[in-house]
Amino acid sequence: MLASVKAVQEVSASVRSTVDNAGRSWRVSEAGLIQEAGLNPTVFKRIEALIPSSARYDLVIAPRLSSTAPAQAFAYLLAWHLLPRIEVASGSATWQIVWGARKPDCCRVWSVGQVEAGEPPVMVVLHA
Amino acid sequence: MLDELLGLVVLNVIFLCSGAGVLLLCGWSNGWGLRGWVGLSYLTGVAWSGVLGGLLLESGLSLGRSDIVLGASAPLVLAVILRRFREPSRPRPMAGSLVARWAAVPAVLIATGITLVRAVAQPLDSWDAWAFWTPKAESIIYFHGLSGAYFRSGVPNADYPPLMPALESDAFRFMGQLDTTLVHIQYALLFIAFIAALAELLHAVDRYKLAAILILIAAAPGMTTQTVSAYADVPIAIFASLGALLLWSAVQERSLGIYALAGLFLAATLATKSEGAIYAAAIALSLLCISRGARLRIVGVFVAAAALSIVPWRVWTATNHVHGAWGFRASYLFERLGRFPRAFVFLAHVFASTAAWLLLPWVVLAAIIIGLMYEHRSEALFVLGMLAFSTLALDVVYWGSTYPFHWYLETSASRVITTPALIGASFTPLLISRSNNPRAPAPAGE
Repeated sequence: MLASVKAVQEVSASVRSTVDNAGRSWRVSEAGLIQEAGLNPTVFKRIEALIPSSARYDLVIAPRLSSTAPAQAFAYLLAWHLLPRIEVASGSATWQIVWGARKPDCCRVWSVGQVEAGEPPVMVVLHA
Repeated sequence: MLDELLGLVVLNVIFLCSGAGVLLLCGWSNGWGLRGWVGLSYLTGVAWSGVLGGLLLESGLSLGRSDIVLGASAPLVLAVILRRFREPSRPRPMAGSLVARWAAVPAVLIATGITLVRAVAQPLDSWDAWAFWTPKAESIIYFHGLSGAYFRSGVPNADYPPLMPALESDAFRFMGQLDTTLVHIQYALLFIAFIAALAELLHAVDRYKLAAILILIAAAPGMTTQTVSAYADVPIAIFASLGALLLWSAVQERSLGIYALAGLFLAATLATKSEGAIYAAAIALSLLCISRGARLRIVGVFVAAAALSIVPWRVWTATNHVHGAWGFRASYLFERLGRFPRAFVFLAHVFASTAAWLLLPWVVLAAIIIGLMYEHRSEALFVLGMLAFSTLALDVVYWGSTYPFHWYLETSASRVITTPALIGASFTPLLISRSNNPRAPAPAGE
């Protein structure tokens, strides 16, 4: 009996999922994934437009944010979306993406918007 | 979308032909006889292409379309050259039958209906899939092969072997773009082919009992959700289950061809995830414990599988300074003794979960008891040994892990238990169908 109920639930979940997702392109789905993580997809697009595809970057997230779920999701989603750009060890790249840390004085800086509501904007930094 | 689907179809036909070539080389059947082995041929082709793809990547190749086609067609070409089409060199180990295929029909329909339809529109929304499985596959496309710099960049589980990323990158190459929705079809096809392969391999057992077990596997919610998550847990469970069934058959039938095929599936198990070493070792160890005459061959199969899969990968990670984040502290085995029973209870709980497996675990346990009580003790002992070895090894992994204990259990236990559960389920038709006749009690005085 329990097995039948579970099977029916699974079928209905599958139908719901299929109906919800039908017709959505994979690019739209990927943007939807960023939104589901509570993050702003526009920030990802702006970063992608700024950093050349052959470049490497390093990501700096303020310690108070770094262990939170949105910050971890941001780091992994960014690493995926920025491919073929590769993240490298701190301080060794010309391009830096900074979230919640102090704005550097030395270089060219772009503010690309808030990735999470209520938190400081993300900055893209080009070390000349 | 149609072009991408067509590309996927072409790739999967290539896998099917490749697997047919491997089966012919293993002396499975003559060419025409393979029509009853579509599920096994397909999965053999996937295992071959995945293991070979990993080796090509580790040797520095880009795994482009031509590499994939050449590598996949090699077994078929070799089989033609060796004339395996006309003259099977050894007796057919097991013959497919129409009855077996009819037994699989309801299960395949369930698996197809639920899983394939869902996979067609499934977005990439499972954490590990978008955090590392699919990005690794995309990195193979972007960097024309494995990139040490990418694997050192902080990608999670960088030390996992590359079989699934290699197969996903094959799909991307043939689709012509990085379609992270349609790639789920690849996973669904593995699951559907597995149901068919089980029906083919277990054709000799009672068809009604076989059909009942296949339906239970096909309808298990855990199988569907894990299949469409694009994680490697269902593929590794499929490779390990077929490896276990074939290794068991090889020992019984003393066929080198079946040993070779079992070795390929064990190599695929080892090349899919790090836990593959636990499952492959559990299969080999439990078989070593109960078989007297074939110990050297079993060890040989295990060593050959490791040499084809895990050894080259470890060489590549060492030379490219790639390390995983997972840590094991032996001192925890003494300092945190309480973890052992808690991990064991948790693993037992997720194994027995009706929400994930319906009644399948209980049927597996009942089949083991029936097997132990009646005429097929060795099969039951093999399954029991495999379950015990793998559960204990997984328990030790949780016990000594440097990850937060509860978080680690809650996020992974329900997935790592899939392989032992599926191996147990694969043997269940064998155990219950052969146990129809209770062993006659020995006459007094004997």
